[in-house]
Amino acid sequence: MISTEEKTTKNETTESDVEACVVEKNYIRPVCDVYRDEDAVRILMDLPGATDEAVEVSVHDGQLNIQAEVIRSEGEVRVYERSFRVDRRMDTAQIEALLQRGVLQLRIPFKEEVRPKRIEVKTAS
Amino acid sequence: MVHTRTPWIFQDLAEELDRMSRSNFLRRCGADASQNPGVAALQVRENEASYTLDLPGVAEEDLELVLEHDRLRIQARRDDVYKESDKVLLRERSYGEFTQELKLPWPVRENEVEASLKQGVLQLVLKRSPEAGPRKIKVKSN
Repeated sequence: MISTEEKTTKNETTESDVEACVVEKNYIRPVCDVYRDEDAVRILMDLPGATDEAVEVSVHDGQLNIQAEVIRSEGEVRVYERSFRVDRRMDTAQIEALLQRGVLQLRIPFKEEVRPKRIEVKTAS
Repeated sequence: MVHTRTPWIFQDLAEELDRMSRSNFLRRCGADASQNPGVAALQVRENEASYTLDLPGVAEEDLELVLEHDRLRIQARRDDVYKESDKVLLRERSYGEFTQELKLPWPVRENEVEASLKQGVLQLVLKRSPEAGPRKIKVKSN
């Protein structure tokens, strides 16, 4: 139940407050680049407006999920969302994430055992 | 591994297309335009305009704003970050030069342009120049 006191405050809200009380979220699949070298897979994802706290990177059941919620200056609520399947060769416990100028950089290393090994060749003296 | 492999037979073609498109910062438009650099929101009021432009990955020093009367030119660049040895699995982001010109319905006060670049979002506030109002012209009679 809403108390009378609360009701009075509610009545004082301006018209723009009332309009903003329910805002539809705009779900966006952010663009990204994926590339790999011998040691890791790197993902670069455009998340303009996202702060560190707003970005959530999680791995569950072989799925890498990236989500970020951003409230734009125009009042738009934008949710960036994208998922990837990661196979067993990837070391998901060692994912590194960096957010810079609205671009998320993820580095997912390959597990030690699948990385190419360099064998040093010694010359017999 | 990430599930976005290009079949080897298409790799050369894909790479060629990528190279071509890299020169165009605004290569993607249409339905998914809102995810890309260059997507903007302009609000023009009587004496003030605000402008929001997504420029993810653009450094302050790679951004140039030129104001001329009622036109604002925005020039930005974003550099490619790949190493030769990298294998590209997916490329959707664009690189290179980007230019956008904004025309306002009135001349802008040059000294009062507010511009900020935060988390890859450029925000501008432009104010109307006072001399831009309707001018009364005196008609001389003989």
